[in-house]
Amino acid sequence: MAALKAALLALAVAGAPAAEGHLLEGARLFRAEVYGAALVEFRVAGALGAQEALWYSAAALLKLGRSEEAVEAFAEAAAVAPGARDSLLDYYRAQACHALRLYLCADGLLASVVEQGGPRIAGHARAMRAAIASELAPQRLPAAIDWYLARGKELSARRPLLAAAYLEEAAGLGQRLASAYRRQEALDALAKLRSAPPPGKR
Amino acid sequence: MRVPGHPSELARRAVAPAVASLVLLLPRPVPAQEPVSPATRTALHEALELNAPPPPRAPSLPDARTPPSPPVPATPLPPAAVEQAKGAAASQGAKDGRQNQVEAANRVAQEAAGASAHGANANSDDAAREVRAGQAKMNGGKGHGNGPNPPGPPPNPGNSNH
Repeated sequence: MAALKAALLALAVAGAPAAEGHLLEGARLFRAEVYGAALVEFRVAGALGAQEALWYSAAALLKLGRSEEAVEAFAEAAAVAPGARDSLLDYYRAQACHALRLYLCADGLLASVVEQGGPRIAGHARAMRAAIASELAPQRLPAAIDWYLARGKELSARRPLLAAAYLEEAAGLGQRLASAYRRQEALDALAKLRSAPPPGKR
Repeated sequence: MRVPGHPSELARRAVAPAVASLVLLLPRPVPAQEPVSPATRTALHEALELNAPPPPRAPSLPDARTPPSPPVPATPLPPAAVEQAKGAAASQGAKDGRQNQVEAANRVAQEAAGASAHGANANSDDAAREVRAGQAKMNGGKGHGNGPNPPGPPPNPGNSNH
């Protein structure tokens, strides 16, 4: 009977250490720059219950050059596992935002990296912030806002997390202009996006 | 050897349905949130720190002439391969009690296939590689460690969106 109990207990907890094993294997592969295989390990860990694996999946997606998916995965990770966030993950997330020209998104994340990151990463973050600051000249913002709004609206139905990132960028840039150029339009689109029922899992 | 009518056989028959019911009543462990140990978190942190990307090229605000990210041609997963892998996974999982891992790998492979078909910004080679890796896990039944992972891609130096 004791053996039966032990077997049942083993069955009940089966999978608990498995997720951790996949995270460790993902870390090893990520370290070895085998990002595709690392992504698989992180996704399996996430499917086994390690929700913070989403952060690492997002980082792997960034390294694979799949920045749109990375921005989506980071947004999802921040929603489901906010406690796992740290300055290094913020740096990766900022890189994903930067790759999609979401410079305000990147700048906001980099601000905390400068404060809390290690010396090397904080140095990178400082350089990125300086470059972004010099790019955001007011006279260029309206055309950029038009582009972000169009992109956000185009993606609203298919990829709401990505659409929200573009719409937030448009609203944030609009706030920098005295005219608040199209800011309200971006905020309205965001509100509409957030009130819509979530699409089925892809 | 089982002898019909023998007390041990009668006992086995009496207990089996109860055990089956117990097993059915046990909660599924897969969706439970699992705390990650400090050692694992340190390993992850070190891996990310080691390969943290350098600052990217200078930012450039988009304007009317800037195209959206170009879609990447998708590499769909052959449906027969999915079904074959699922069958192998089911029998393997039933044999050794690693059903949870098999199911997880199965889902990952299917999601990778979905991402490949989705395609908007997916790197089709990477998606196909994910699918193969997921299938290898399913067929080989290796959870982690020395599983038959495919050779990895070279580091992607740039970003496909620009």
